[in-house]
Amino acid sequence: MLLDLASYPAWLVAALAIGAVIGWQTYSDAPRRYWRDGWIVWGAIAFVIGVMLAALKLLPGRYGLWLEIALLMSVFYIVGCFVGGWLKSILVREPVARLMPDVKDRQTGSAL
Amino acid sequence: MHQPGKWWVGLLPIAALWVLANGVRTESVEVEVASRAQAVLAEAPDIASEMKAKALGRDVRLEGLEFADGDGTRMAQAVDRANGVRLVDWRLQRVLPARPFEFAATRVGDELRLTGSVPTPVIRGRIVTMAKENAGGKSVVDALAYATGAPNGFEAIVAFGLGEAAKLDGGSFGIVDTGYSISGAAVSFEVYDAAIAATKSLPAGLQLAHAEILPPEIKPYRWDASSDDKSVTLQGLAPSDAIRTEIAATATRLFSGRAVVNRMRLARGAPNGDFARAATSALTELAKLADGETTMTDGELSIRGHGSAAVTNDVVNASVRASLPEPFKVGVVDIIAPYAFKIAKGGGRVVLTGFAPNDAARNDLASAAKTVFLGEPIENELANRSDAPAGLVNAVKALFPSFARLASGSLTSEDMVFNVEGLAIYEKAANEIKLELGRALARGFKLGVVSIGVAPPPPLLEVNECQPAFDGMLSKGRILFETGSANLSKESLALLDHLIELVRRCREASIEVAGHTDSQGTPELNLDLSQRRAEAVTSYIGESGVDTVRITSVGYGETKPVASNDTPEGRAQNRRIEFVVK
Repeated sequence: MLLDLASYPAWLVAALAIGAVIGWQTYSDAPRRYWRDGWIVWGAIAFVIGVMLAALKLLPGRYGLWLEIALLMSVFYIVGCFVGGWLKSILVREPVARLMPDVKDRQTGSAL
Repeated sequence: MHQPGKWWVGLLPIAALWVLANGVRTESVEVEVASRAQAVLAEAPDIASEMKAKALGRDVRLEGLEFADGDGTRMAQAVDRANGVRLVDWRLQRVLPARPFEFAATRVGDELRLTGSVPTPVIRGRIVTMAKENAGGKSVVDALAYATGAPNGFEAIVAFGLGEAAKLDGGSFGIVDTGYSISGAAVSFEVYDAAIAATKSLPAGLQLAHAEILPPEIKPYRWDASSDDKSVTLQGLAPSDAIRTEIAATATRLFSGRAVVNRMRLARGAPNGDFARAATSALTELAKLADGETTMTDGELSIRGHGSAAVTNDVVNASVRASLPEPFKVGVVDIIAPYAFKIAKGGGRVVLTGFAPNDAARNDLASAAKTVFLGEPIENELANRSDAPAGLVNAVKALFPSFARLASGSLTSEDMVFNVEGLAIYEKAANEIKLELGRALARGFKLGVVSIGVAPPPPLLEVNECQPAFDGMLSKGRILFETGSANLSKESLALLDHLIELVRRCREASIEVAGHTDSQGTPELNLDLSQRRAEAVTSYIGESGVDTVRITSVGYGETKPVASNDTPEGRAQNRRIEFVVK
């Protein structure tokens, strides 16, 4: 697996980036749907099965390698989604919150 | 707030990215994995040098040869521990035993080609290294295949063979199981001897199957033999062991009783043709000589030495030219043969053999023989040879009268030495002949062996057979006296001895010895002279041991001529001694 990480760094970073973009785009204040709805369950099941197949080395040759890469990219993607959402939560909401003190500072300054 | 339920939208680009990554990177990952596996194999060259790692994804497959059971398992486990390798399987071909186990190192052109079987990669590597060290500038071609079943000490055997083959021009060697073969050409006698010796001290467990080691090529190609009365020495070069043995055997046969010293060496470069037959021809001539030497240099045969009366330069020259096979040639023939002459008397004939200086001398000798040998047929077989000892002809002729007194025998000469053997008619004659031979011997000549016995008494004759016998004997010659005297001429002694033989055979006959003269001089003197000559003959007969009681001596003077006294020839016929049986 370390060889996979060493051999596909740019590709995994790309998956991370795609995840970050998707996480950023989908991050919103809308109420989150219940987690068992939609693709998450099936995706999680598929991932677990994939991990088991990889751990048990049930797929031979290139299929085994490709499975490992698929799992790694999936992980990096999901992590990217969380990172993207987190960044948005920081970079997009925080400035709004920080504007208020800036106004206050200017008001305070003018008051001075 | 994160919205995982919407994250599925990114799966499509992720899938595309995955496909793209696999397409771009899979092969390079496989190369890396295979490289890592190969590095593990390289750490165990003794068992894995003929294994190859192939990667499919991160899985590795080991292919190639397995030299021992378990090698594949061990290497698979080692490769499996390598970083990056996910799974390992192996499909190795087990190295099988070779029956028979063969190995060969053959020099062909500019190559030293290794063929046959080798048990392991490590040994193969060392053998190739050894081959390069012994290649002598030739390139080493490794065409070996792996097989088990090598004989014990295989590597040492190969090292031995490579070393020995390297000493030879075109040297090659091989083994079939424990059978060892070597071939090549030696460049010197030292190398040849060493190579032959090496075939007799092979490494333990090895047997010599075939050795074809050619001796050195030598120019000029010389073979020679020399002989004396004790031994014959064979030296020089022979083209093969078989021919060398054949020549030695021929020498043993031809020089029977003499030691054969065989110092011949084997060498290439002999002239074309039947070398053994040429050597046999040379030895045959050499065996005829008292001592000598023969040399064959690049097909030209020369003979030198000392011959004998019968073995002369011409005889040897003709003989060797007749027997020498093509394309051998006769070079120098230098035979020093004694100057031989022989006169043999017996069987009612006289034979002259050997040499005379020229035709005149031949005729002279034959004529002299005719005079003293009482009309016995003369067979003149003398050959001309110019280098006669000075005075030989006269020396021989001087001995004729004495020799002629023998009943049978031979007079021979070799250079300046005369030998006489034969049988005298009676014992006193034998002693006289010996003395006369010594007295008649010319200056500078020597008497060698003089062996004269006495002939057995011949059968008696009837009385009526005696007169014809005397007449017949006297018809062959005349009893001669010194002029005007009753002294018997030495030239007449032979005739007298043969007349004595007849007197002995005519034991019952009364014999009159009658003397006659020609008409020269007075009748009284002639009567007296004829009487004294008749008595001289009778006296000579008596001295031989014959009882002369039955012999009377009568002188008739000139009263009974048998021819005219008017001519010298007639007078010569009238001067005579007659034996008359009463």
